[in-house]
Amino acid sequence: MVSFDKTIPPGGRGKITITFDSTGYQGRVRKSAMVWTNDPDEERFELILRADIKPVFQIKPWGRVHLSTPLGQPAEQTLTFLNLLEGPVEITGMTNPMEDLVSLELNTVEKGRAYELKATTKAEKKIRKGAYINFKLSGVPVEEYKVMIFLDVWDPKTKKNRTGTVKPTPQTQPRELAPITPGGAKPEPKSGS
Amino acid sequence: MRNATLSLAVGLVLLWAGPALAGPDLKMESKDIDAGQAFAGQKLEVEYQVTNAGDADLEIKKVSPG
Repeated sequence: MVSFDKTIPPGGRGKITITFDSTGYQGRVRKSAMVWTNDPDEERFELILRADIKPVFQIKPWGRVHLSTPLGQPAEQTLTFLNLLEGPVEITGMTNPMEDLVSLELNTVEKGRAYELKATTKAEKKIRKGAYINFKLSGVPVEEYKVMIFLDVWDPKTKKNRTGTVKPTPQTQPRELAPITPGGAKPEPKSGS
Repeated sequence: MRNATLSLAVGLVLLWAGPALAGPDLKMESKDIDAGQAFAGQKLEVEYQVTNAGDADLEIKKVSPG
């Protein structure tokens, strides 16, 4: 997201502000923004923002909730959040973006260190949807800690294989090879043929 | 006659130099800022200071995140 002063008078000062949401990033990050102005020497130039993003949690088995199940068959997934920082980080709240489709239950394994999130489908219709669960944290200056949730409830009668219809490989009889005679000469034709 | 020649020479110099001075002149302390360490999920806000050293309005037409 960007904001900037559109006009700066002669001798005046202004600013260009870039806001970067580091959700989903880890390690050294380089983001850029292109600027266009009416200065003939600086008609177009690049602004660069660098940062070193430290993960707060290690989320096991992977960093998002992914529930994929046939209609009428509930699915469940449990994620474990392990605090990677030295100090305690508490999860103090959570917003469920799919309240009518998924139930979320957060349990404290060890206060400030480890948490468990259990997600269970309750969708009664075919749906494919992605959203973010927002966690409120204390102990770190993170306003909202987002974790992706993806739900895929499909109709087992109509769902096709992702690669489309797979045709069975035609069965062929092994070809009988002609015998090779020493020197590469062709075999003598069989009598009567 | 000598004064008239001098005035003409000064006038010509000003005419030649004039357009080079006119217009906006963008100056920035830095176009590359390192925000340092942050936590995943944190929103970083970075300000780039812009100065107009020219003699006409500097217009920032567009800023497009990459």
